[in-house]
Amino acid sequence: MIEVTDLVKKYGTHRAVDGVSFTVGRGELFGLLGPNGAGKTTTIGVLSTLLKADGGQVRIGGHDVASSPAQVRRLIGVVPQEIALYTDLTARDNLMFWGRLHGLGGAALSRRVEELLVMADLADQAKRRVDAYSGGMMRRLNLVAGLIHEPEVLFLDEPTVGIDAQARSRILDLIAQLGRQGLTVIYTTHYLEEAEHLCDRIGVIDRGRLVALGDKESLISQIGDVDLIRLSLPEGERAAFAAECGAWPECAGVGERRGKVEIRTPDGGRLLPRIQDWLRAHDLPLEQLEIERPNLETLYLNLTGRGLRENGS
Amino acid sequence: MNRQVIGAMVRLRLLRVLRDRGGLVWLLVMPMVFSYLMGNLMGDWSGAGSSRRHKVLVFDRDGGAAVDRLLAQLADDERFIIVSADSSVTDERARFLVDEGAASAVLQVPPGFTDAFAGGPTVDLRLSVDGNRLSSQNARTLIERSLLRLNTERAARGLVTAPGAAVTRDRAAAFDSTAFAEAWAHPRLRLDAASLGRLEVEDWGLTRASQHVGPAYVLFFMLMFMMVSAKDLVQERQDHTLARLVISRASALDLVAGYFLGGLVIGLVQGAILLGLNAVAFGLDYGDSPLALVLVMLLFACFASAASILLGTLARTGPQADGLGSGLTMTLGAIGGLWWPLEITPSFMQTIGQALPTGQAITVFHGMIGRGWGVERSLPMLAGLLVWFVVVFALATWRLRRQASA
Ligand SMILES: Nc1ncnc2c1ncn2[C@@H]1O[C@H](COP(=O)(O)OP(=O)(O)O)[C@@H](O)[C@H]1O
Ligand SMILES: [Mg+2]
Repeated sequence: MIEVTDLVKKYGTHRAVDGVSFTVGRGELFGLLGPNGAGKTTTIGVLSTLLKADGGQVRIGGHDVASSPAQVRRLIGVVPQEIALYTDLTARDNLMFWGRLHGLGGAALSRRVEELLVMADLADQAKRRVDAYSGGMMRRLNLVAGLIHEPEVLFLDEPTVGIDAQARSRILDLIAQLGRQGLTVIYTTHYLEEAEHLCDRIGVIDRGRLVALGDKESLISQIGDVDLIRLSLPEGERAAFAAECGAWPECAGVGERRGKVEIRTPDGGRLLPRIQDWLRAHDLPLEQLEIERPNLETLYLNLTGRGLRENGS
Repeated sequence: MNRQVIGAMVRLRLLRVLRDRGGLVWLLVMPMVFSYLMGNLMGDWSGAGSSRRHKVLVFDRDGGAAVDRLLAQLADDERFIIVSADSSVTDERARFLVDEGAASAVLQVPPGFTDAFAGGPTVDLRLSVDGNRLSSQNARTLIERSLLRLNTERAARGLVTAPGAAVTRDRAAAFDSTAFAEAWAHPRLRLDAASLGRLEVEDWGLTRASQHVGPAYVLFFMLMFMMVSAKDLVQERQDHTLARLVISRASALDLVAGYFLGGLVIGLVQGAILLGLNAVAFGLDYGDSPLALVLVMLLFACFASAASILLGTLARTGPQADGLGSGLTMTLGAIGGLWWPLEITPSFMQTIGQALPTGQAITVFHGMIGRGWGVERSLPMLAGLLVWFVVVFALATWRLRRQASA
């Protein structure tokens, strides 16, 4: 349904999106996961025909985004990161307007608007001005406004930003429901647990590059069966330890993060005795040591965390 | 062009204006308050204020019966106090009397006035007016009206030979229309008026401040509302409702048309209501040419709506649009003669003012109200407005299309 090939988008000389490729199948719920400034919104901008790419190709439903934006626009619905509504009007007025802008009218429009108000659980609040709504209500309305013309593809850009946990789970339920109905969804977020919970497949994006891509299990296997050991050491000893440890065959990488030494290894159990030996040889107590089994969190930190990226090559 | 999309945008704009109570105050209430206050402050420009009557000194060197009839007619007008003197006066003396404030106007009636009335040779009366105190146009109109009566009466006497005799059917049939036309074309009694004051207001024909203030504040607040609503477009960009619009069925041209027509409709409705309220509240009469009135309002509203889009695409933030919008409106209002009439400014300021859309529009209003301008006389100013509109609209379209297609 969506094919993105070598997508590049520059702001001046800054490459906000730098050679991103992925595909999303029909009916799939695809998560684009990355920290702030990673290039998620920019990617969505190009996919939704709002921004022009500087390189690469994007096809949606077989139509090229750059050369046939009008055909693409018929297929897609977009939920911007901002509350893109007229907050001085009521929910119903907003939905009626967006419906007319998509060529709906008459009874069909009214029916669709009522449907969406129910879906957003706002039917009894439809006559209130949007600026009197809570954050969660605004987010739900913002979301269903992107569905008014029954698009086949929905782009959701961080739809849960800035709301409390309860409101957030209502939105996630709504999106899961849309996924079950067969909508193709691209969902961007910087919350790992949202992507993990919601999405069939995840692309991890950082600094404009896609650093990992796949379903949850394949992502974890991408870093291998790697344990992460965190060890507290006095600052003066860290460099010496890292130099020695890096040479051990069991060690897959060593770095420093938040005042601790972090060691990646396929097998934590075999590395532990060596670490203890080293500590004893240097007359240091074993103060604190954690072993972390692989999960998406370690992957995410591995891929996007500053400390490991700087040292772990 | 997608009519449904454009219609929905216009409808939305109206809805948002109607929902905004505070905005309605600026749209309709404030302009009327300003009209009322400024109309009173700037007062009466004819000298017809009830408390103030103007003294007109009449030097009668004729002393005949016709002069008495003239003075009786003048004295009928409550705006003037007629003081007659039998002695003669020189032009210098008349100027001195007016300069000294002894009278607002001096009228010199030459010997032979009564004779001319009876069919003798033509005489010229001379009127000297203090333009600072009295519109010479008004004094002149008053006296001309009296002279017209006497002239017509004189002509009629020439036709009906026996004064007092009943006009029979035969006599009426004998009425010589060419003789009357000749008599009308060559009046024997004429007026030569000179304004002595510094204020050259004699030909603009306005008699009340509200004739200027009324339309001026209608134009001013039309422009102000439009310019300040430029921030709505900035807001659409910031809130990304513009992004939603772009990916809808609306083309970039539909967006331009939707914004433009929305502004135009609001401007015209606002303008029509305000002109109507002014007509009712202050008894304003906008002249005899509905077409000229419609054209000037239409072109001005077109300009204002286009300017609003242009400003909205140029400003980066809402407060910036607000500041720039009201600043520009103030400037265009002040220099374009909406706050005080261009006619009282130095001639180079008048030239600058009439190059601006505000100056062009108010000049047409002055013409329509004071001098009976129709479309033809208004044409240079209307053409100026059209040029402003076309240029600003082209720039606005170019900017908005660029922003709508990133
Ligand atoms: N309009 C813009 N002009 C210049 N730089 C921009 C613009 N929009 C985004 N960027 C930059 O591009 C990068 C990616 O931004 P964005 O796509 O918004 O990231 P995300 O949505 O993942 O937080 C950031 O470094 C950001 O500063
Ligand atoms: Mg973003």
